[in-house]
Amino acid sequence: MPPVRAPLPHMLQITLYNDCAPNCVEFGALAAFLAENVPWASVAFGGDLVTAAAAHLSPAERGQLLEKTAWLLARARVHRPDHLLPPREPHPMEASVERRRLERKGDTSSPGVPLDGFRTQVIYARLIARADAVQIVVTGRLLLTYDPDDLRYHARTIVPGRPALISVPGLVEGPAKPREYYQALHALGRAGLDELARASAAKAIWGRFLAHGDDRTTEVLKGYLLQAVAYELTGDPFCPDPNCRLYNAHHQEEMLHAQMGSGSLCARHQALFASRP
Amino acid sequence: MEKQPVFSPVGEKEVTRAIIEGFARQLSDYVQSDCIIVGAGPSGLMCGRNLARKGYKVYIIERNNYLGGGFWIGGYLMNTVTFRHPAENVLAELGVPYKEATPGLFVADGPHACSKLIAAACDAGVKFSNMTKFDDVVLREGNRVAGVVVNWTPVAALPREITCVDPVALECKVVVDGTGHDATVVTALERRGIVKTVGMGGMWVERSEDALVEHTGEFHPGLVVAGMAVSTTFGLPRMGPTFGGMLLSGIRAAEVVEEILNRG
Repeated sequence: MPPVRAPLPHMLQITLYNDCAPNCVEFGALAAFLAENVPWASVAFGGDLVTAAAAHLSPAERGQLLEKTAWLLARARVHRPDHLLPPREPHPMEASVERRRLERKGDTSSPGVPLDGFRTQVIYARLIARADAVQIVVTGRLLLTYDPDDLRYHARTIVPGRPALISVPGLVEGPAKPREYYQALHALGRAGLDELARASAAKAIWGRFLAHGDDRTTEVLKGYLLQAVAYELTGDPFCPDPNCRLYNAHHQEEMLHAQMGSGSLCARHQALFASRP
Repeated sequence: MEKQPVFSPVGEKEVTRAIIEGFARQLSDYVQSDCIIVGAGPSGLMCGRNLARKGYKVYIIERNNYLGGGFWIGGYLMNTVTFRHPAENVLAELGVPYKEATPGLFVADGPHACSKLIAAACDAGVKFSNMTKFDDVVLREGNRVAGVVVNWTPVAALPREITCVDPVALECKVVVDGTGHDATVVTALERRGIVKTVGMGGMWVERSEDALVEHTGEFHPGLVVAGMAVSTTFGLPRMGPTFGGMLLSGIRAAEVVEEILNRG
């Protein structure tokens, strides 16, 4: 069943939010890119997601909102990617860790425990969703979605919808790295389990995949912003053309090619964004 | 000229008496302590060392004869151990030589790092009971953890006919579960239906060490989880044998224990 969305207003409003995205993400550049490529939209950077969500709340209301959101996020954690388990009552410490993150206390730069992307989208919708605007959250959390075809969770780069969630660690962990990376890991020992082996394998193919804190992150993110907007306009965020920035890349090299090698849109999507449908 | 003996002329009975008296004195003293840490791996040792340096009475029990857990070796049984920034600062503090392998990733000699950490814990005043196996928890009002029940490790290996060797109980204000993937203390509470663990997460995620340190804390009144036991308890993503997370988790666990001790 297609998602139900409110009719688009005459002037599309797009607001970008920062949800503990790594420092390598330049939101000014992202907003400018969107404004340039979707000229009929009004683009704004809404700042920190939680700050924006609680801007008009009293301290007590803010506390309640954070408490509830933290509990829901703890409940949305995915512990076993090969199982679709019903949500369970989180341990108070799990909720407390999520609360600290929401309060932006301590080091929030790590992706934390992976979250179910669809559940997270619903939780974030409670915070910022508006019927008359498009929200795009660039998050530092790793998001997974369950695929009923192969009965397991997969790391995602984007969960389109309202709000659209774009996961920066998902850009690193989602698309598969070049085959040589896994071959090198295997040759070096216990695949994926030895940090030194991993670093050595990564060194051999450095540059052919996006790493955490990579300088190219902002550039790669730009195409995913357009995917979020395309979903709003057409219900389909992706393009089958591997040279288009809307290409749904399953491999790192495909992703880097679409976003940086080609770095452009196909004719159909250029036309889509150029003027209001 | 008659050759002088190198060692003092001490008989077997004096040696035996010295062993018994030394051991009994320590065990008697540590029947009650501030903190009992179960597991002498890197997180337990680090936690114990930091607490003892602040004057707390710390007893570490270890089921093996040797201390250090898996800290002696890295991946694939190779004795180079790896640490991600900022854990090299802990190595520097312990006086362990290290090198930067790739940006942000440091390597050290496993035996050197492990022996230095054990020595640091001993120097700080931590006492150990090795070849001692955790059996159960001591519970008080509201199921607060108030100690551990222990037995000799070899007892578990005896035939059933002669395993009627009763354990003994040790009391303390806080117990730390530093038993690695097994999370033995947490599992003991789970067996009683008091808590529920999630189990080891099935997904490999880079930088999952951060989540491990983040979740180090008081899991149940009187019980703090540290090191890989945190992973099992909270179902965190899997991580490789980088030991920075273990050391930082131990440091965090010491901070949490101190908070609990201070609140009385």
